[in-house]
Amino acid sequence: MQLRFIGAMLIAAAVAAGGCRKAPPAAKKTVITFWQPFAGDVKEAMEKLRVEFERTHPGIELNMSYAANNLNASQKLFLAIAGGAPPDVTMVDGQQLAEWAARGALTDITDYVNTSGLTGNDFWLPRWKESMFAGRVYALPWGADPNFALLWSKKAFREAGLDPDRPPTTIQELDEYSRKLTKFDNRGRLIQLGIVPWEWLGDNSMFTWGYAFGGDFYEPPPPGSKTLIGKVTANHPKNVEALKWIASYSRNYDVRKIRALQTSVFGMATNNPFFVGIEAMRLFHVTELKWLHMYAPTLEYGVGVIPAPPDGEHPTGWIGGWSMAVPRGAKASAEAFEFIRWMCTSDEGTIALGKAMNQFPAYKKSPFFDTVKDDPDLKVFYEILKNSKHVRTLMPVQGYLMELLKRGVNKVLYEDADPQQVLDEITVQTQKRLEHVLRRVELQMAADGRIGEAR
Amino acid sequence: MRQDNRWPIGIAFCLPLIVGLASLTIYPIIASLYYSLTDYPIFGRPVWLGLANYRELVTDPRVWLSLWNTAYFAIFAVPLGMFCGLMLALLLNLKVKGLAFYRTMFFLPSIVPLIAACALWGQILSPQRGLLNEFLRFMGLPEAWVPGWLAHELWAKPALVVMSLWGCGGGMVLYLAALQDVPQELYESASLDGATAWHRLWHITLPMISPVLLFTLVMGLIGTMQYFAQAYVLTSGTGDPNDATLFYALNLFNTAFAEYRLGYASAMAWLMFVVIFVATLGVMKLSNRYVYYHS
Repeated sequence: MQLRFIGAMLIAAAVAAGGCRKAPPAAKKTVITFWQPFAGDVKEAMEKLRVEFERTHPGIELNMSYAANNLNASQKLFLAIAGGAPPDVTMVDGQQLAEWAARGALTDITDYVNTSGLTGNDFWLPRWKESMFAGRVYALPWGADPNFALLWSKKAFREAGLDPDRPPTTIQELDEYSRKLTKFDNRGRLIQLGIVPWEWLGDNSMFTWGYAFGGDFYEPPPPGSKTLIGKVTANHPKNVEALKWIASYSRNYDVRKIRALQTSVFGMATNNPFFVGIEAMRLFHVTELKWLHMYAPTLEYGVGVIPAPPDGEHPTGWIGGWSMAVPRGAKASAEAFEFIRWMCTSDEGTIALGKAMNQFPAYKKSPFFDTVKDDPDLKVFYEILKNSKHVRTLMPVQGYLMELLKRGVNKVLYEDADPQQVLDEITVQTQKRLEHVLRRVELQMAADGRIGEAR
Repeated sequence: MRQDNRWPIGIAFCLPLIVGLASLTIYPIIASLYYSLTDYPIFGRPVWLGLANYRELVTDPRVWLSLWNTAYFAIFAVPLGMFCGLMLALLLNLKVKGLAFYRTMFFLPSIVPLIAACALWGQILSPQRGLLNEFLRFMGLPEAWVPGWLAHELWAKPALVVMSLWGCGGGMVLYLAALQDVPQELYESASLDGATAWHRLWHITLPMISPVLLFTLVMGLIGTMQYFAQAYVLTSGTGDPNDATLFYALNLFNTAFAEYRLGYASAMAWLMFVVIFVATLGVMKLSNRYVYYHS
């Protein structure tokens, strides 16, 4: 009797579970699932884009959901791919692309791109290069944000006896300005800093200043080469010079005291150290301008390019940004690619990126750029974008290099380690990891009969 | 109905638990043992490596650094937490007025959501304007001696220990329950024999509640070995400053889900298992000498 009772319960449970399923939509539409990593007002803008896309594409239903995505937290996507249930389209940070493609996490969309008539000339070149791996296209670039511009507080400049309309242009000037802009209180505590060369992320700073000093991090194999493996050059003499310079700020002002001052404010958007007046100069990402206008509307500031040594790169910059790709295991479909193409090249998609996310489109012909030319702040960023030759690196071990650079910069700042030795070690370790990863890819390509196709 | 007919029903009712345990606990444990012997970059098949991951473990300075950070934390946080919890429990056991109120107040921090607690303590520990340092300055501590807490590599772990003490109310509740179980006649006869308060604490109270002390010690040890969330939230998973808060579980997590070296991370997990196992075994062995089970 009890068994029958249990059976009845199981049936009831099955009926209840079945009843939860949604009724199928009346009209037959292709459903595309899309994972995006944005929250807050950017998510609202994405929602508007979704409505607009569905309005202009009546046959497609866009199913959009959130998935965290940064170098340390793409678990949801990766586990979905490994588990065989990925979304049709995903956002991917440009610097992750080679890594994800090499791991086999993405689907090759070269044929779709060729059919659409889009070429590398339609996009800012560094971002286009960042969409490719081993000669194939794995994504379209959506955003292209120039890193970075130098912002300075005119009030702090005046108080320090500096010309508020003249930013430092060389490293020597930057050091001199920093010295004048650094203030202590009567207890000997730091209360204002000139500039913090490592900011919060030692890893990004190494790229920023390394390129500014004229350095480089990776030499890809020459075109036509049989191998995919290039040469890691993280210990480029100019990078070493840059790191020595970064270290001089810890020696002069003590990284711990600087950190103590930085952590005295909470929340990067509302209490950015520049907004609250504890950093007189700071490198800014274009997206941060919005917070500046929102949270520090009365702050008098100037926007300029990053100072560089006389034999360095001036103006300097590297480009980052989001791309859109099809995860492995999802069937690359015409509809999914149409969504990617629409987001990355249509007026609506690219203008929304510019207006709602305060980033620049990777698509050069976007009408958004017409609105930028007259904006006193954005036009400086636009100049930096036009002149930028770099992305971080095109290596499939970029995340690893970033991590090692972060540790390395920390070691130099906290332990006074020798920059040359630190960067030498990073170079050896990264090269080793790079070869390990790419040998696997080369073996796979040979097995697929694609040998020699690379580049 | 006869007794012996009922086992299928028992099994049926236990089935959700059995299935859950087998598929979500036992299978992953066995699978991780296999993965720990492979190179498994999440996509594609794991490649057999034999003991290479374990050999790398032995020479990986970051593994040892994170083990040291974790041991440091455990050595200070567990005994201090037990001590504070016990002190509070002893005070509250003095039949103070408003016992329920105090008990609730001291217990409350241990149920504050973790992220909120971290946000709060991030500000309390702020070196320049935080509540704690302002208090130290008010007490007349010279500026050079005021700790840098999470901004300074030597103070970051003590900062987390201080923060963990805030949650000692969890242990306090257990101690308080145990204290109220100690038979009053023991204290009375000891008093008649002229035992001082200290004697009563040392010779009656502590032995009588020693099983609970052992329990909190073991649980505390296991908990601190797996210490992760606070460090992850307060440093955004970086282990800053300069790896001072790179705890073992954080290192393991980053290896698995930032570097996607699942094979190596599995090997790290097994090392952690061995360390916890040995530590617990050591505590249990010692406890034979000190723990008194009066039932």
